[in-house]
Amino acid sequence: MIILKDILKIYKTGDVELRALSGINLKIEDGEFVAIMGPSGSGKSTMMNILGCLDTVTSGDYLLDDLNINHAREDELAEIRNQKIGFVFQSFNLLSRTTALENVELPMLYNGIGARERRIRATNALTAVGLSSRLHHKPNELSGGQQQRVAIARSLVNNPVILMADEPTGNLDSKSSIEVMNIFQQLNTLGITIVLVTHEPDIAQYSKRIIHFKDGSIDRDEIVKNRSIAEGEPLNLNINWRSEVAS
Amino acid sequence: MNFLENIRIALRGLRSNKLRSVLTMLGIIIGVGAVIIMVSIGQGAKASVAGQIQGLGSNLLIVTPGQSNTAGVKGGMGSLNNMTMDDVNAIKSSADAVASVAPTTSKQAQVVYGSENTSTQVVGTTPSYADVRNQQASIGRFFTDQENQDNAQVAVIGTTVVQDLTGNPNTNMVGQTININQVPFQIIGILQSKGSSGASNNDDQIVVPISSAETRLIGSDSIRTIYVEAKSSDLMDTASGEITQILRQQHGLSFNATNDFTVTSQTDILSTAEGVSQSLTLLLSGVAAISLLVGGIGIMNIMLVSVTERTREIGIRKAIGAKRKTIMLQFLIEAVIISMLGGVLGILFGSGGSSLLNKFAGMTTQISTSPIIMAFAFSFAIGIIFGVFPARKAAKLHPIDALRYE
Ligand SMILES: Nc1ncnc2c1ncn2[C@@H]1O[C@H](COP(=O)(O)OP(=O)(O)OP(=O)(O)O)[C@@H](O)[C@H]1O
Ligand SMILES: [Mg+2]
Repeated sequence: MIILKDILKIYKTGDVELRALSGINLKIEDGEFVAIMGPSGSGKSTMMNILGCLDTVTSGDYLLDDLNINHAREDELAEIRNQKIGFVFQSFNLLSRTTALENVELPMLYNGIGARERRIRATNALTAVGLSSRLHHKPNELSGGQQQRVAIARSLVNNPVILMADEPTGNLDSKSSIEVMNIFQQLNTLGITIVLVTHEPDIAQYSKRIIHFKDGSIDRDEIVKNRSIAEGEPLNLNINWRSEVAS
Repeated sequence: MNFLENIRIALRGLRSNKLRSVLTMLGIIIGVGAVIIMVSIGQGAKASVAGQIQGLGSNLLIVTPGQSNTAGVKGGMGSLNNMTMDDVNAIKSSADAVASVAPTTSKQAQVVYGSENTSTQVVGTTPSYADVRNQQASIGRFFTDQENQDNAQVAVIGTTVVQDLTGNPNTNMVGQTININQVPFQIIGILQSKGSSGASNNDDQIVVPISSAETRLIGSDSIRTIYVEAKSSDLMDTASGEITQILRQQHGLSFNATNDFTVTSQTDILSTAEGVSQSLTLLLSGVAAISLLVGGIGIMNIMLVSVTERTREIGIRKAIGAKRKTIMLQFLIEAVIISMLGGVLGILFGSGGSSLLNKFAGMTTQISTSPIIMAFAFSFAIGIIFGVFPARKAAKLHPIDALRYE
């Protein structure tokens, strides 16, 4: 569960102060599927960075699963990102010289999971998102949609409680976008909290709740009516990537 | 994060930039190579000096014609043929600190045995040579004073000559006759093998009576070198002084005239050899220190470039949970691998260089494990020292700034 209290984020460039977020109060329950919308510069990415523990607030409280993030040091934030949060970026952010499998193994490299189990869990995660035949491809040998699915697999391998996606469909065509939203909806059904930022109303329509940002604060918070269901392959969960291999 | 994993990542990075990696290593390669060559020359010189001393005989003084410039380095050697048998006899009879004296003359000569022939150094001397120069006959015998007086055509030959004439250094040629510059000599003994020291091979020579050499081979009675054995090592300086006094008198040199001969002792030879190897060592240490420094700076430079190039990668790694120390370690390991690889190549290059020097420059070099371990340690230290700054820079990057970097 996420609780934000009076979050203030001020960027200082020289003498100029910029209030990117001014007084955000927000509660996101476990299992929610939230879309954040709003005009450019309204503070959506700033919000996501704070939620994803990539950045710290200027003032206010951020509680993630009862853990007060304000007081965490940089390495503790790294550990939280590694253990609790999965990231999906607009520009995929895969390591370019590295195969899909190795990219997906990466988060497990940083929490000391053995090589054998890393391989198994990464293979399972890639299989789940339908990429079992692309394990050894490098990012430049994959389509945009496939790269984003690798990124999703990577975000899942450490069993995160929350998945952060900043414009995950921003670089994708509509077919790939629907594929990604299909995966998100299925993951959400499995209990993973999802927060995504999007500019596109039809993408937001796949979520359960839309939060509208304007000038660094929440303008409107609505429950999605007539929610769209993304058509697509069901996640291949015969081998559940979440099943703990004894470690 | 796993240590081996870091090494794999680092190696992949290096492989994808082969030329750059090699160029970066160049400084280390040259530095470490210089260290290896330097030490191998130093050790070789020591071994060779020890060998030479043993090869020369003990308590030895060497008298050569001509004035020397600096200790042991002969100037105008052979230009003067002013030493005679009279000088030798004078030393023998008047110098109290002298045990024995062996005059020598020598000439490069063509030696024929049956259908085989070879070119070697023929040394004409007296029987005392065997003791003074510690060159005994291992098979057969050395020639006698009588044979020397009789201009006897007898020879004691070195094993390298035996090898050249028969194809086998162990052939017993005693009793055989060889032609030296078309003059027949009977072999009466084989010299004990001493191996080569420095550039000279003690086994590649034929020793004959000096009388026979002068009358039958050289045709003059000039003496090239007089070997003198002092009575004890304490008397070396006394003997040297006596010889100088006697020869100045013999040559009728006035009070302020410089010597027209040179007396050299083993100590002089030793210090010359050490002096040469010391100045070489100094030069090479300079080269090594500078190249290692330049190499280290090169590594730092390339690591800084690498950190900048891979800012986004660092951002990704941090976003998914890499801690500062992990990123730091990754780049540090990369720097250490570059410098250690450079070190290994430098060791290969240095060993190769030192054996080339040995083969083609006639220098005695010796490679041992201690400089190799030292080189490893050096390159490790350089990797750490010059890798820390770039690695810290990478570790301190803010994940968001790094992710935004284009
Ligand atoms: N590192 C920074 N330094 C200074 N100002 C910043 C920084 N990051 C963001 N900002 C400013 O904060 C405000 C909010 O930026 P943010 O990136 O959150 O907007 P956004 O809603 O994600 O916009 P977009 O839809 O274009 O992605 C903007 O005015 C931006 O210029
Ligand atoms: Mg944004």
